Amino acid sequence: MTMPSFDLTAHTDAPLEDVWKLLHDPTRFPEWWAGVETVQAEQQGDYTMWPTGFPDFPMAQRLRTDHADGRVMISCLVSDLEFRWQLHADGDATDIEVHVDLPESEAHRLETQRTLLTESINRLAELARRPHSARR
Amino acid sequence: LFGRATELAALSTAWRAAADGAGQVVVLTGEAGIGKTSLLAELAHRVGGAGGRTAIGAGIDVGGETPFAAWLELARSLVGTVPPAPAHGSWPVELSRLSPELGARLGRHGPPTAVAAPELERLRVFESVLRLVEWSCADRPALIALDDAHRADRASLRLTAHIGRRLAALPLLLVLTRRDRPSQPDLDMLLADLTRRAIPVTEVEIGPITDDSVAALASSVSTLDDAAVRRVIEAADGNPLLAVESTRALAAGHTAPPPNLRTAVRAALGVLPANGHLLARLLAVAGRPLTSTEIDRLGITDGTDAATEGGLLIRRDGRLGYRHALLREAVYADLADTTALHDRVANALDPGDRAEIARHLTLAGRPVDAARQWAAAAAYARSVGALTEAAEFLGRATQCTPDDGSLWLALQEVRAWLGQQAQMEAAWQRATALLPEAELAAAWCRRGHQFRTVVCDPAASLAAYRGAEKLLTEQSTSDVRATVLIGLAWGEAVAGDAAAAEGLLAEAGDLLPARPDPETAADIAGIRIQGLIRQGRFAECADVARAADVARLPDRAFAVWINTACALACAGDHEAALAMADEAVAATESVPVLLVGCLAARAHLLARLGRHDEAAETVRRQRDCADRLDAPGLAATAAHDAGLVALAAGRHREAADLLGQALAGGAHVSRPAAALSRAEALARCGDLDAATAQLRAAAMEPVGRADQPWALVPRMAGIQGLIAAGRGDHDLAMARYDEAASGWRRMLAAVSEVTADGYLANLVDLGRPPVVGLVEPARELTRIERDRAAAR
Repeated sequence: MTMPSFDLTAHTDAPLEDVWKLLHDPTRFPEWWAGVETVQAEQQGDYTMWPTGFPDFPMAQRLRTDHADGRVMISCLVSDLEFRWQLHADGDATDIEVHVDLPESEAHRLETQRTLLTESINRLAELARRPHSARR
Repeated sequence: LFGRATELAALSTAWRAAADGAGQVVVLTGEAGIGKTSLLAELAHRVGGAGGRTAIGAGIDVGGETPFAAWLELARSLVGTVPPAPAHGSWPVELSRLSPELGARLGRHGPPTAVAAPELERLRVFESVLRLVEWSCADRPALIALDDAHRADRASLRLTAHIGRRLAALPLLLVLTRRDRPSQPDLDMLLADLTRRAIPVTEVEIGPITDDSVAALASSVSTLDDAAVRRVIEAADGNPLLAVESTRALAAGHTAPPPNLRTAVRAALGVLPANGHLLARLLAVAGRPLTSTEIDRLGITDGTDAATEGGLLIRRDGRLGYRHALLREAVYADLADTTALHDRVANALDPGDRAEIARHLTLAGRPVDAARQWAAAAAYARSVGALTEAAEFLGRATQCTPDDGSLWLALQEVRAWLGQQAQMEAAWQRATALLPEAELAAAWCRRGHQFRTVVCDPAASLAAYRGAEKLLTEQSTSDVRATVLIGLAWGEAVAGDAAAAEGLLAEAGDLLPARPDPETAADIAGIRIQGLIRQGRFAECADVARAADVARLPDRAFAVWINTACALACAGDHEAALAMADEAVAATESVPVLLVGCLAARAHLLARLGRHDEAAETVRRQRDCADRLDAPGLAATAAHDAGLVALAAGRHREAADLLGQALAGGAHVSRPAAALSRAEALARCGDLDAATAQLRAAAMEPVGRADQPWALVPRMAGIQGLIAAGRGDHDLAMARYDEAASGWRRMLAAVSEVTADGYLANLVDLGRPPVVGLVEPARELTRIERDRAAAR
């Protein structure tokens, strides 16, 4: 049985480094990740996300980058959702890909996640394009 | 020696050059029986006559070699002739790792200090033998030779390579003899490596000797008429061994030379008295020459003289063996039932030759005794860092007694050190299925310790100790109970509830003697320090460190002093941190592999204090030490540390070069952080295109929690600011600097928490003193503001 999953892509005129910084700074996730309202850094390098509208529903996450072309893995330790972000430099622009795996038990959330991630990847691309928007 | 004038001239030339200080390697290659050993013996005779020191060891392929066996023989030879060892050096004691008698013969009794990690043991063996070799040619030039290098054990070949790489500046000639076939990949690699490193290597092919030389050789063995000499020439085909055997056969009355060696040795054996015949068979089974003591243990009173007079056996350096390995092989091939012979040899061998004894016991059909010896051989191999051999020996032990759970437990530990996860788990499953219930708690403790050390998985370690805790019974000893508590304390200190560690250690203390053994006491101190760091109670570490008695435990001293140095650096007390680093350097002087890390910490602290010249001198020493250890990863790491010291001192080009070496060489450091440091160095020396490319490479590096990603993001923004400023894009530079400053300000609020966490992650994941990994947001912010002001 194959795991429910989907892939999305986006392109941004921003250099790869600017997308990379947004992906590696969980405290900035609420600025672009649809459905994420608050993020708090935790011990051991993990962090906790609170989904929009669910202030009492903390979801522990783990972020790491593996050896395959700087692929950024974000795993939700509560729901077993896994987001694999991959960046490809296109000169001074960047192609962004995200692959999302859901466990069977979360299959019913596939379309919701697709909608949220479609919005998120586009917001990420847009935010990265604006270095002057860096939070002060 | 007949017909070897050309080869001797080549050897003499090499010796003269080596004796003048241009150390080099000569390889004598030729077929079996062609005269390599005789040529080597002649060279040694001449070198000895000219006042040089000589030591010859031989590779022995008996199917169960003790690691470093060939170098053990060489070391035994050298310690017998070198001048008294210097009083201040620790290497004579370290030599006792190979065999206790080595240190004792140099006037240093007692065991070397313990080190827990096999890789450290191996490096210490390498270093101590290298020191012995250097010492052996300090007062006169030396010839060191490894005869039959194609038979040498793997560990000895690795050590030969280690020494070979360092001989160019020594008055030392290293000679290896080898058969021309079959190929021997380990030996080929060794020689290729030396050549690649520009070590002079001369290959001397030993070919057939001329007919005239064969005739002269035959005449030296016996008086034959011309016709018989012609038959010898025809049979020998230029091979001196065959020439001698043919001559002996004809001299003994045979009408023609023997068609092969097997026939020749049958003839030679046939004329021996019963005892001589038995001795010859036992020596064939032994596979190597035996010492007088071993011969005595065989219990054969007569027969030696007859066997040596017949030319089959020979005494060399106090040992009795076959005149040539081919003769031994020919005798062995003719033996019908060797079981009883192996049994007798097993009982006669030096008790230290455990692997050999185990092999003979296996062939003698005594599996239980054999398993015990294989296990002992594995323990020795493990103690000198020869893990592959240890795994092999334990594998053979488990074949002998497959239901012994303790052997599987030992095997799984060695597999863990070898990084063989699947085999480790398989052995663990076998062990737990076979061990008696009363031993399971201790087994789980051992597994927990493994995850504390080699595998480095705090969560798995904690789980293992919790497993052990569940298996405790009323019969469990205080020792096991204390071990469980200490293991749990470590897991909590580094990955769980750090505050809970103290309580667990206090409980363990109630079970331990008032003065626990030094290893346990040091372990407790180390855990306490880690727990304090994790809680951000940095300054308190100093008292724990000072109270710890780690003088005789360099690896523990390393952890205690360096971790405390890091903690004090976290607390901002760099002077006190430097004092701790100095303690660490003093405690690890005798263990270079630990010393390099201590020097790294010292260098970074000096750089942090602005004492750049001293920092540069310290990293220079660190790099020398790392190069000597022959571990590319350590050398690359030292280049990294030197790069950061150069960056701190404003030597940007040098920093970029060194950090480039470190990244290319696989330094065991945070790669994204190192890549960013290099990008910064490049940006600061104006190489903006290279800096941009390096920044992109940094983004492609894997990032884990030890890399402290929260620190990477503002650092990258700051470097983007430098690049933008360098390109004259003022607005973009300001935006980048603002972005970086914003990131560092966010960190300031939680500085002790993130620093402590990052520190521990560095320690656990990178396993090196992480002074370099400490990030100081306030300082970073100041730097960004300085760069911002400069760009205005």
